[in-house]
Amino acid sequence: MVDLYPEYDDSVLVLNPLGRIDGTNAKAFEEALLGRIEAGDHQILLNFEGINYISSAGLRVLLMAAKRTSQAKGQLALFAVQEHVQEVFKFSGFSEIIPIHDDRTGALGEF
Amino acid sequence: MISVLTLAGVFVSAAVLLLLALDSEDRTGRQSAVVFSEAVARSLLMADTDTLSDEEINDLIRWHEHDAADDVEDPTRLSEVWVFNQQARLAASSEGARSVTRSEIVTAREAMRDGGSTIVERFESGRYAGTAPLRTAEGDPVGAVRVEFQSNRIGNHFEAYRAEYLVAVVAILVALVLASNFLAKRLARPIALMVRAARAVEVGRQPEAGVAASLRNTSLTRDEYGELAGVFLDMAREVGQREVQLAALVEERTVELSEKNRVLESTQREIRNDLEMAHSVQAALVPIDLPDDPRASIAAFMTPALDVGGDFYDAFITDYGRLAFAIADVSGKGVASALMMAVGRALLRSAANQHADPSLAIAETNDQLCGMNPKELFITAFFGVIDMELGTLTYVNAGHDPPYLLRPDSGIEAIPHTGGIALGVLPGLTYAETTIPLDPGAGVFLYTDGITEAENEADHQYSRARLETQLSELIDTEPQAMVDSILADLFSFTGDAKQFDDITCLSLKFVGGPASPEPYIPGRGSAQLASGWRRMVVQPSLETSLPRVAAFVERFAESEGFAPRELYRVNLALDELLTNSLEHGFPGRLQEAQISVALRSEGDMVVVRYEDNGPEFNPLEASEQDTELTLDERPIGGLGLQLITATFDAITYERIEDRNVTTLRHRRGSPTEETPNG
Repeated sequence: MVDLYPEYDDSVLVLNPLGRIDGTNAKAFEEALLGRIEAGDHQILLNFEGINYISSAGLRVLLMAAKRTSQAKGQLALFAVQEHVQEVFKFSGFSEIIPIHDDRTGALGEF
Repeated sequence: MISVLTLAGVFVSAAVLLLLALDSEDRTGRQSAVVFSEAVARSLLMADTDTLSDEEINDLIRWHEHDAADDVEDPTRLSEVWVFNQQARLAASSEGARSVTRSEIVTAREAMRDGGSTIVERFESGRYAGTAPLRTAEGDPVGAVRVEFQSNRIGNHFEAYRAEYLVAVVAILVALVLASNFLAKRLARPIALMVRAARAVEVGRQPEAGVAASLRNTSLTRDEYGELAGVFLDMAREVGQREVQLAALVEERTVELSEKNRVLESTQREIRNDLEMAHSVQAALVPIDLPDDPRASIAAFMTPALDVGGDFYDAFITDYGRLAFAIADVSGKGVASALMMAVGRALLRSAANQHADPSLAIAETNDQLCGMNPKELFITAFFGVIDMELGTLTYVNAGHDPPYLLRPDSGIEAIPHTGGIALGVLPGLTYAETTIPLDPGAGVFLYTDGITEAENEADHQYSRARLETQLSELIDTEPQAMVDSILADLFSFTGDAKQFDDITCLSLKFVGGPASPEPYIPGRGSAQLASGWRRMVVQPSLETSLPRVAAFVERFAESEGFAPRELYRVNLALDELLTNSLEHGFPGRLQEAQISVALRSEGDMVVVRYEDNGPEFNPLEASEQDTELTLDERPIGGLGLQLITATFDAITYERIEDRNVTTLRHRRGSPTEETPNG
């Protein structure tokens, strides 16, 4: 089970995952994240400061989450993404479809 | 036999009886001869022999016959009488008497000699002669009288009844023969029966029915034979019963024995199967192919003792591209030791691919062994890793006899101990390692105590001293020749003595030289890795493989002087390739997957070689994905391969035999890192 260390900032759910998101834990990450969305949280902000690795398996989960929140008229965004992780978003084109902010304050300002 | 004796007895008695009868007759005849002759002589007393006429004699005989009838109990007829004068000349004779013979005249003279005496003669067929002296009144012999007569008593009787006698004798003989036969049969038959019955009993059978019935009949009679037959029958019955009991007992025991035998045999077969299996396990785990790297030459030998032992050796190229080698001796013997050896060797190989440092690999092996060592066995081991580029040997000695370092220019030298204790004793131990330079031409000789403690028939050990002498002489030889020579010397030393322990040795010579530019030595398949490459074999499971690949990349980055983050894309690419292989390459047959990863740095370039044996799949053709699509248009999935093509400067794909080989090249400080964040 992946711990997302959830907290609320007003109506925005802020999640603080740690470590890697790859093929070994993507499924657990998916269940945790999509479970939140199904439970009614459609404004989701992911703190990626503690994520030092993400593979396409992780990206796929983010894509699914982004689509679900979008369908529910909500949104999903990231902040504090490490430089080399950010490359992955860039190469995959994900930086174009999932908003990535520098810090928490800036991110919350967009909700 | 008995009948012959009986017959003989009968004949002897008959003969005795006959002789007695004849003797009695003889005595009577002789007596008569005296009586007759003397009576005639008396009657002629005073007669003048010179004037005696034959008529007077005849008268005398007639008278005498009449007279003698009262005289003799059984009167005998005088047939002839002769009278001799004093000169022994015939004076007169009875009527019809024959003329006298010369011997009769001699007899007459004899009768007159020395005062005179009567002479009796006996002739055949019961004829007697009596010659008596004629005397004067004074008793002086003046002549002689000879009478002859036929004894009538038996001789005549016998003569008269010869035929009847003969018939009687024959009849008696026949009766005797029949009687003796009957007796013989009566006496001998029970004995013959008992002999036959005894023979039968002797060979463990009951007497034949006929024999037994006859014996039973015999036993009913009251004589000694009957009694004997009865006793014999009882005895035969008893013997027979005992035979039957014994046979039953033997049968029972035989069944028990054969059952026990069967159990024993099957147990033995199981043990033998176990031992054979252990033997083949041990044999199978001895590496058949030693690394065929041109920069090192290796030869090894192991022969298990009769009981399964637990020696092993190993030599292989690690995932880090180094040459690892080991020799080990599991304590004890038998299946448990052989299995311990199998486990130990596998663990050490695995740990050597996981940890670049021999000390860590040995510590890991020790921990694992301690976790699966119910028999409390232990393994003494020497484990060394040669970095063929640097020319160094790093080793750990866990309680094993120190191997020898062979330097052609400075001789042999025991490799100093690192102070480690045997594996499998205590978990959590740390082991010290030592690194020594290894120049091209230098070698290492490893052995187990099966060599140094091998004994000859005089119970002397081969000893380290003799091994050292041999090694000193062989210091220049190639490993194979060195192993062959040591073994030849060892076996000539031990002769016919029994081999008590596994005999194991490994000889290694470091040749050195440049690394091969290709990761695989041509024509040797993927098993052989050329120098400069770090390679790891990947387990077909994401959960176990991804962290290991990540650690592998991290170690490579450290040793090659890259910042770990610099190799983020290498990691990512391997992750995506591996995930793709495992998820799509082997549907339903994941266990067949053979996947490996190799890394190598070339100047400021990192080369990644990813290999799998899945169906042909070119990632370059599969990664055409439009990254410009909006959120709703983007398909979920298919991202991974696209990530790879986006992050690497150069990607090539080859189908080599049954393998997909993808090679990625990434330049240090790649343009992407210089690109400002978007």
